[in-house]
Amino acid sequence: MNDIPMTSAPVAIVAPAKLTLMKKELTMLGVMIGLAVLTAILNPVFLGGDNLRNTMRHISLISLFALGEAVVIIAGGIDLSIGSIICVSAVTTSYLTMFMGFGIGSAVATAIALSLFIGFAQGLVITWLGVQPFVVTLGSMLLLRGVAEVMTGGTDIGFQGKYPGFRFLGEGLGFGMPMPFWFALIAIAITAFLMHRTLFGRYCYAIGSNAEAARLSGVPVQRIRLVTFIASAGLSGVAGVLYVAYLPSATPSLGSAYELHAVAAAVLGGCSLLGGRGSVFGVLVGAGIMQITFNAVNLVGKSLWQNVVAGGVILAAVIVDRVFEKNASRRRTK
Amino acid sequence: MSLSLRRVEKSFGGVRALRGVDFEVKPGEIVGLLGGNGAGKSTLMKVAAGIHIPDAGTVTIDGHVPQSPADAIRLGVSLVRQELIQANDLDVGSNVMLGHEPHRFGIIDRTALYREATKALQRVGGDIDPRTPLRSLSPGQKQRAEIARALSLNAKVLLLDEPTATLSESDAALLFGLLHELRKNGIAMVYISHRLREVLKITDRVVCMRDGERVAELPTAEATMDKLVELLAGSNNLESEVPAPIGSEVVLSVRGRVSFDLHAGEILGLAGLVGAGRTSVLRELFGSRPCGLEVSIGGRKIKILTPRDAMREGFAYVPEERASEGLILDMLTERNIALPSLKRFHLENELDIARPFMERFRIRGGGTARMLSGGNQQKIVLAKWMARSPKILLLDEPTRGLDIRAKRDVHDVVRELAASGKGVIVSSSEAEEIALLCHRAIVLSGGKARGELARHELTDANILRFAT
Repeated sequence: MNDIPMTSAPVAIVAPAKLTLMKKELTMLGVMIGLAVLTAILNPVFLGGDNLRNTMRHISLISLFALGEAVVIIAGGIDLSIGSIICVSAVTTSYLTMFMGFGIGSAVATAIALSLFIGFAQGLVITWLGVQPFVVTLGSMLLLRGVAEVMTGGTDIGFQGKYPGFRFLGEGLGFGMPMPFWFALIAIAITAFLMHRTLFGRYCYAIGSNAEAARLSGVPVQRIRLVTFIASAGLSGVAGVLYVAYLPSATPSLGSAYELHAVAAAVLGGCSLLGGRGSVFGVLVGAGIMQITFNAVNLVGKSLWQNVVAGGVILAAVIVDRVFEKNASRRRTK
Repeated sequence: MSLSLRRVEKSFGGVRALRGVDFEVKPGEIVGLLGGNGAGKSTLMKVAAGIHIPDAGTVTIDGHVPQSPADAIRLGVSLVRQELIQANDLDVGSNVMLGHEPHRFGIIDRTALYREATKALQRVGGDIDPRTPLRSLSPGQKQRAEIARALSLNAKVLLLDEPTATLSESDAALLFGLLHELRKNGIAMVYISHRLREVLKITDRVVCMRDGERVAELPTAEATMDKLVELLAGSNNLESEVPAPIGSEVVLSVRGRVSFDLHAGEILGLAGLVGAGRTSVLRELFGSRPCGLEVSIGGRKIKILTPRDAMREGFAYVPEERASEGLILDMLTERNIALPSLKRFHLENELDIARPFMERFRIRGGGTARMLSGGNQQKIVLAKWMARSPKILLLDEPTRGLDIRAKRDVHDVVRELAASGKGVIVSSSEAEEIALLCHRAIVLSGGKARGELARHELTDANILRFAT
C-alpha cells in the first residue's frame, strides 16, 4: 500500500477529537433535561408511570421516522413525504385486513413493502432525473395523502376489537417498556451502526458535505442517495404500522405534519439542512425535545398552545445554539 | 478622464501582491497589462476598481479617490470580470441594467429599462435582443452584454481581465472590433491577457509585471513577441532537477484531439493558457465528464464512464479546485485521506490508512481539512490518492496558489511518484512549472493539441508560441 519512501521523521498524530464534534448534541441534551425538569415542576404528573411510559412510546415513534429523515438530510437531501407515508402504511394495513380479507401478517408486510417501493420510486426520480428532493417529496406528500383519503373514504378504519396480538405491538408493554420502544431501539442500533461504522454512513456524510468532491473520490453518489430515500420511507412505513396498532384505527389525517416534526428533531439534534452534519444520538435528543414539549403543554392544560410552544422551543434552541457558536468562534479568533 | 495609480502596495496575509506599482491609462488608449500567474495583474485591477483598498499609495480617478466599488463605478471605472457573474435566468436587458434599473417608488419602469438596455447593447454590436434570456447567449455575446452594462453605467475606463479566455476566435474578432470602436470614442481600456499575439494586435502600450512589481513599459509599436516573452520569463533560478529516466512500458494510450502514449515513470505536461482545454482532457480521462477520447491501457481499449471506472483502471485525479472538488472541507483530515481507499462495508480503521501519508507529509490530523493552509490541503489531496497506489496520476494545476516552498514539496512528490514507476500527467498554465517538471509536454489551444515539445525544448518561449 505504501510504496513511497519515508523521508521525514514520524510525528505524533492527534486522535480524532470526537467530543468537540458532539458539543452541539450535548447542548441539546441539556435543553431536553431542562425541559423535563421544568415540566415535572409545573405538573408532577409528568413523572407518573403512565405518563412516562406514554411519553416514551411517542418519543420512540417519532425517533423511528426522524432517524430516516436525518439520514436523508445528512446526505444532503430532504424528505417531505414522511407523514403521508406513515398514513398510507397505516391505512393499507387496516384496509387490507378489514376490507380485503388479508391476514394481519400479510397486510403489515404489504404496507411496509409498499412504503419501501414509494421510497424507491421517489429516489429514482430524484437521482435519475435529477429533480430536487424537495419538489419530488412535496409532490408525493400531497399525492399519498390524497390516496389515503380515497382509500378510507374520509373516515376511520378501525380494527373493531380484532387482532389483539397485533395491537399489543403498539399499546402493549414488554419488560416494562412500551413495545414501540423496542422497535425504535432496534432501528436506532442499526442506523447508528450504519451511519457511524460503515462505508454507507461515511459516504452519506461525504455526499452531504460536498457531493462533487465525493464523486471525484469514487463515491457512488446517486446509489447512496437512492438508498437514503428508501430507508426513510421504510422507517416511516414501520412507524405507520405501529401507529395503527396503537390507535387502533387508521384515519386519513394520521401523520399530518410529522415530516416537519422529523425535520425539527433532526435540526435540533445538530443536523445541518445543507447536509453533512448530524448524528443518530442528536436526532434522538431532538425527538425527545419535541415530544416532551408536546407533553408539557398538555399537562399544563393548554393543549391549544401546543404548536406555539413547540415552535417557540425550536426557535429558541437553535438561536441559543447559534449564539453560543458565534461567541465560541469569536473567542477562537482572538 | 484618466485613471492613475501611484506607488500602490497591497499585501494579503503576509504575501506582498503589489510592491509600489505605478500605472496610468488615458482616454482613447488601450494599455496591455502582462505578467505570469501571481504577478499581481488582477490585484492591481481590483485596486483600480475599488474592490481592494491599497495598503499604501493612491488611486485617483480624475482627481477623486474611490473608497468602494460603487465609488469607482460612479467615477466611471468598470471592471469587466474574468469569470462573468451574471444572473443567467434573467433576460439580457435586466442583466445590463441590474442594480441601476429605472424605477418609480421601487416599481421597475420596464419600457425605460428595455429602451436603455437597447441603447447600450447597440453600442456593442447591436446583435443582441434585450429580451432573450442571458443563458442562451454565447460566451462572446455575454461578454459584450457585460461591456454594454459598463457603458450603461457611463463607464469611461474599462478594465478587461482575460476577456478572450473563454471566447471562440470569431467572438474574439468581434470583441477586438468593438474595442477599436470604443477607443475612437475616447474610452480608456486596460487589457489583461496571456495571449501575446492579441496584445500586440490591439494595444497602444504594454506594461509588464513580475512578482508584484512593474518591470517594463514600452509602446506596442516597439514590442515583438520575443521581447515580450523575454520580459515575462525573467531570470529562472528556482529548482532544476533532471527527472528520472522513463521506463519502456506504455501505461496509457490516448487517441483523439489529443494523442499520446504515456510511459511508466514519465511526467507528461499539458501546457496551454487558461481555457485551452487542459482540464477537460483530464476530467474526461477520469470519467467525470463524457469522454470523447479513445483510451487504452496495456493495449486494451477501455470505456470510462464514471470516476469509479477510472479508479478501477488505476487513475487518480487531483482537481484544479482543491477546496471545492478535491476535499471535503468539513471532514477530518484522516477521513479525507482514507475516503477513496475504503473498501469494506464495515469501516476499516481510517487512521491506519491515513497515518503513513500524514507522517510522510507531516500533516497534522485531528482537525477538519478546512483548518489547514492551501499547501497542506493540497498534500492531503495527494495523500488520499497515494493511499490507493494508482498507476496513473492526473494532476490539474497542482501548485496553483501555493507559495514557493509548498510548490517545491509538491514537485518533489510528483518526481518521486514518477521515479517509482507511475505515469504522471501534469496540467499547468505556468510554462515555468511545465519546463521544470516534465519529460515532455503537449501544448493545447482551443481544446486541441497544437504541438509537442521534448524536454530540451521546454522553454517558456516555445510553450507560449504554440499556445497563442
